[in-house]
Formats: sequence, C-alpha cells, structure tokens
Amino acid sequence: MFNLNYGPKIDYKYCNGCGDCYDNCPMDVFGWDEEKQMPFVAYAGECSICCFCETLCPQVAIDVLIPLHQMLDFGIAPTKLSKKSRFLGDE
Amino acid sequence: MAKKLEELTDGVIETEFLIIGGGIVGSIAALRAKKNNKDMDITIIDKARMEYSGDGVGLDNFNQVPLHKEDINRDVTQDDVNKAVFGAERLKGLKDFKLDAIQMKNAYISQPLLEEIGVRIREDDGSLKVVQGYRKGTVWGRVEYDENGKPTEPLFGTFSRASDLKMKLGTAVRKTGTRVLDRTMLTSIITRDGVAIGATALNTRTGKFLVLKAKAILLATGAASRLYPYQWSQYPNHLFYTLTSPVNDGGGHVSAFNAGVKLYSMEFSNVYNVSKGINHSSGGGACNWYFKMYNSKGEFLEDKYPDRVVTKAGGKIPGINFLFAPDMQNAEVEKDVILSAKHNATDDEIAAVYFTAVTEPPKALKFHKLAGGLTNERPVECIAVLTGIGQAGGGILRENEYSETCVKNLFAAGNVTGNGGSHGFTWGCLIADHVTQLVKDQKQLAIDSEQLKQIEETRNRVFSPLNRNTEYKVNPLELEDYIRQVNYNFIGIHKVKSKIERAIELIRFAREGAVPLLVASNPHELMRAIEVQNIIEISELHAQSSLLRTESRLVPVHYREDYPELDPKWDNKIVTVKKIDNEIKYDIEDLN
Repeated sequence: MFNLNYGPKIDYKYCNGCGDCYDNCPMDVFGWDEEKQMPFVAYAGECSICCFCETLCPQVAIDVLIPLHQMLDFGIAPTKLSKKSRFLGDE
Repeated sequence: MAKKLEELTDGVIETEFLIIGGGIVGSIAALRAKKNNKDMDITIIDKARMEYSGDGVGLDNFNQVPLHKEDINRDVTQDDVNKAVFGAERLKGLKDFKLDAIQMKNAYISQPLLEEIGVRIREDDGSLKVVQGYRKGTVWGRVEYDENGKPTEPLFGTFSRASDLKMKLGTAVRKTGTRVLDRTMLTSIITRDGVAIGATALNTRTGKFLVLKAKAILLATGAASRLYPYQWSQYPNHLFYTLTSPVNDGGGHVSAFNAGVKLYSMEFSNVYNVSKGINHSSGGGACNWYFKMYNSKGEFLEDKYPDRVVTKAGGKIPGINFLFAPDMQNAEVEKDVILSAKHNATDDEIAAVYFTAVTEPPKALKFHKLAGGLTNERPVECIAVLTGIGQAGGGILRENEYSETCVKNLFAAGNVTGNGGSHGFTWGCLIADHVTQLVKDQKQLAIDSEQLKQIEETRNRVFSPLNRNTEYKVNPLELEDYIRQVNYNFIGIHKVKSKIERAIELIRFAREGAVPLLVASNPHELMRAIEVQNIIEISELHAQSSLLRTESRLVPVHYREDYPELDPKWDNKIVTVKKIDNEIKYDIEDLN
C-alpha cells in the first residue's frame, strides 16, 4: 500500500518543541509527545492544507505536503519542483 | 435520583456573557462589550484556537456598504437595500429587510474598534481606499471608469489591508481579560422556560466536560460547512477540503435547534465557483473571481451570456451564474470544460487576486507560487462546489432587531444565521451593545432538576462513543464520509423528490444502524464522533427542507428538477423547522 502524501511533516532536526503548531492548528492535527516534549503529526488525514503551521513555525521545521491531486489540478507539476521547493515554495 | 451538578461536570464556570465561537463575530463582540463595560465577565469558547479559528483570516474589504460618506448612519430604505445588498434581487422574499437595513445603517460601527487594535484598514496617508465595486460587468472587483476617470458604477467596498486580522483580534480579546477557552466545543445549550441560561462544552484535548452558566449567550459558530464532500479528492481529505472553515460542522445549529431555536431556509446550500485543486477559504484570491472564464470553443462566458452579468442590484452570484448558463439542463460547467483566462489578465486583475490571496490562509499564496506565479500559471479549471449551509442564507432565524433567536437571551450572528462576511462585525457590535445593558438587570437563573437531567443526558450522549466496547466499531470519519456522499448523490445540485426521499431513508438508517456503534479512543476522536452526529441531523433538515420547497429559487442553490421554475406562490415564503416537545415540525411561513 502506498502512503499518500499530505499533511504536515515535521523535521525533528530543526524542531525545538515550542509547540506553536500544536497550539494553533485549526484542525487539531498535531499531538503532543509528553516524554519527548515534542509535537507529532497525529491526524494527517484531517489536515485541510491551510498551512498556518508552516508559516507559524519559528524554526521553519514544518512542510505541509500538498496532495498530488491538488497539485496536478492546480497546474503544479511535481517534476518541475526541486525536492525542497515542492514543499516550501522557495525556488 | 438526579445527580448533582458537581457530579456531572468537570467544572462549572459562571459568566455574564458567553460567546460560543471565537471567529469574527465572537471576537468583535467581546471587544465591544469590554469597551462598553470593562468589568463585564465574558467567556469565549472556541473549538480551535482563537487566533486561527473561524472563517475570517484576513479582511480584504468591508463589503456591501454604501460608498458615500453622507450615506453613513442615515436611515436606510428597502430601495437602498436592494441597490446595495449584493444579490438583493435574488434574495428578495428570502431575507428580512428590516435586519438588512439595520445592518447597512451600522455598516461602519466596528471600524474604529478594529483600527484601535491595529487592523490596517487605511492607506499609509490615512485615507480609506474605496476601490472595490461591482462592475456592471462580469465579475466583482473589476471597476470601469468613464472618460472623466469616474467609476461608471457606484462602489461598495472599503478595501483594507488586514491580512493579519484574526491574529490581532484574538490577541486583543485576550488582553481585555476575557476568559478564552480554546479547544472547547459546544455540546448543548441549557434552557429554562424558554430562556437560555448556559451551555455544556467539551474540551477536545483534556476530555473535560464543562457547564457554563450565563446571563446572555451569543452563538457564532459559523456555517455548517461539512455537508458535502469535495468531489475531486480521496478519503479522508475530501471531508476537510471545504469552502468555509472545516472546523465548523454545524454543531451550533444543532445545539440551538435542540434548545428550541427555529431554523430557516435549510434547503439552501450554496454553490460556489472555485479553481480546481484549491478549495476552502481560498476566496477570490485563488478562485478566478477576477478573471474571465471561457469554454472549450474559446467563448468568453461573459460575452456569450450578457444577461447574466453581475450588476450591483442584479443579484446574480458572480461566476456561478456563468457556469450554470444557459440553463440547468445545459449548464456550461456540466457539458464543457471551463477555464479561467489568466493569460490575458490585466495588471489590475492580477494585483486584485494577490491582494485577496494574502487575506486567506497561507495556502493560497503558496499554491500560486508553486504554480509559477499568476502570470505563468497554466489555466485553471473552474468548477462548482457545493458548500455547506450559511453562505446563501439559511440557518438560525433571528427574530428581532437585536439578532435574538426565539429562545430568550440567546443571540446569533454570522454564518450560523446565513449572514456572514464583514456583516459579522456589525452584528457582533450591535449584540454586544444590547447585551451590555441586558446583563445589568438580568439575574442568573438557577440550574434546576430539569436542567440537571438535560445536562446528564448530554453528558451520556457525548461520552458514549469513548472506548465503547463493541465488536463492530464505527469510525466517525467513515460515517461522515458516507453521509456526505449520500447528500451529494441524492440531494446535490439537481434535486428530485424520489432521490431526496431516498437520502432521508439512508440518513435515518445510518443514524439508527451505525451511530450507536460510533467509537472514539480519545477526546479528539470524540469531537469527530459528536460532529458526525451533528452532520447527520443537519443533513436530514437539509433534505426535508429541500423536499418542502416545491419550486426552484436562487438557482443553482435550490434547483428542483421536478419543479424547475420559480413559483411566485413562494415569494416571501420561508421553510422553517423547530423542535416542539421533542418532535420536529416543519412549516412554510410568511417572511415578516
């Protein structure tokens, strides 16, 4: 089974556990790992791709993955995007 | 023996003014009420976090207000309303003119307060930029000038640059000392002898069940957004790609309805024009409102169907009136591919799109950027989506000039009443002003045995899915998916009696056969389980109301294949629904 690409992805190399994403996500997509004091993505399927977390994160540690169908329908070709810009939009 | 209040709850909060929903309406109402009386005890509950909740993210204009300075604060006639209220001609007979007149007269009431908290409405030189108008042309936002440089049509909107509106509102409300309970969802409204005296709520993080006692309540829970799926995406994505905020499931409608509030026009689920691939709250910024649309033959729809152009009082919904031209049996959008002509957009149009996009969730700009910027983008397909109830009228019926419902001391405003957008600011302020006076004299009514019974029933219903031990477990999202597919396939845009009746059968079967097996393993999932039950209730109200209105009106918002014409017999008639002694009663009433 393929995994679908959507919802926020946290890069733990940069995440400092500030919790802004967990506090603010309108859809309550994030959970909180009490042991590690870090957020995790608990309900990726409920993400509405609003991208608030991505812009809020002071560490720029979150990329919101846009589902393939949305990219193709909106005229975004994944082949034209670098690995980084596919998610961040900073070509 | 009834249980005591303390045994039934994890906390009781007593407040003077309870605001349910921290969106535009809820935020401005709290600010205004605190401005009137800084000592008033105010509590806001919000299902998400207030700074990022609700439909409004930014504010690109105060819409539908009279342009001319001399019009501000003057008394407003029916004729004025028809001229100024966008869509007035179509909505005639479906909306209460008296409330619209009050709204227009007070259109700017919230502006000083917004400016005080740093919302950028003015230009750098301090002037108000009033540039947005409804062109006597195709799409809104495009303005035409005569040879003297004067606009050919009166203008209606005040442009603002408030892309960070919601954050500022949330921060400002917290500073006033208002009690803000984030991640707290409404589960019922408590009444006593037809008076609202409080509410129950669930914290979707901790699972705590709260009782909030209040002297006055403002219901501002937004649209019932999750009634139809976004058809072009897979489960479970399509459940949350809604037009208005997907947080809003219609829980406010259901709680109010169960408390005895009358709902109206529940058959009108709006139909909206969006760019395929982008969806909720993407508004004009992403949705081709500013561009011409053309079909596969290269015909521009605005040239092909000149009678469908939007005028200020013409009252046709821009975009949609072209997509469904020339008629519902031969709708362009259903028979052809419709694209937006970005490639020959004017600089003004492109600027307008970007301007609007920055007041939407960040996704709007991100999508445009990834697609190569507006001028480089491929043409995007224009599609029609069914949105929830709340953008085309419909929802909670307001009974008086204070926007009060038929349950005393329960007020409502915004999309929950079918009257959202920047009007929410106006009503938030007007209600706050009234409540400021009201709470001075109003005593907090006590919770008695009857209310305790109600609270206990709510508690049992709310928590029943939690860790339910059952062999077959119903996933709340799977059930929600099913119901919304039923709505799409059996109600949808082309409504037919036999199919609507089938929808009702299927909805009821799901309610009886699946709801008792809903399972949630934590408070977050419990939220989804409560939401799907709300969606089921609203779906049935939507279906039944659609069945009752045996004509077509606001096409394609309510189009009956079996009654395709607008029937004058239905002028000034609304379908209403109310719960009386636990029985649901539908009615066809004259609009006052």
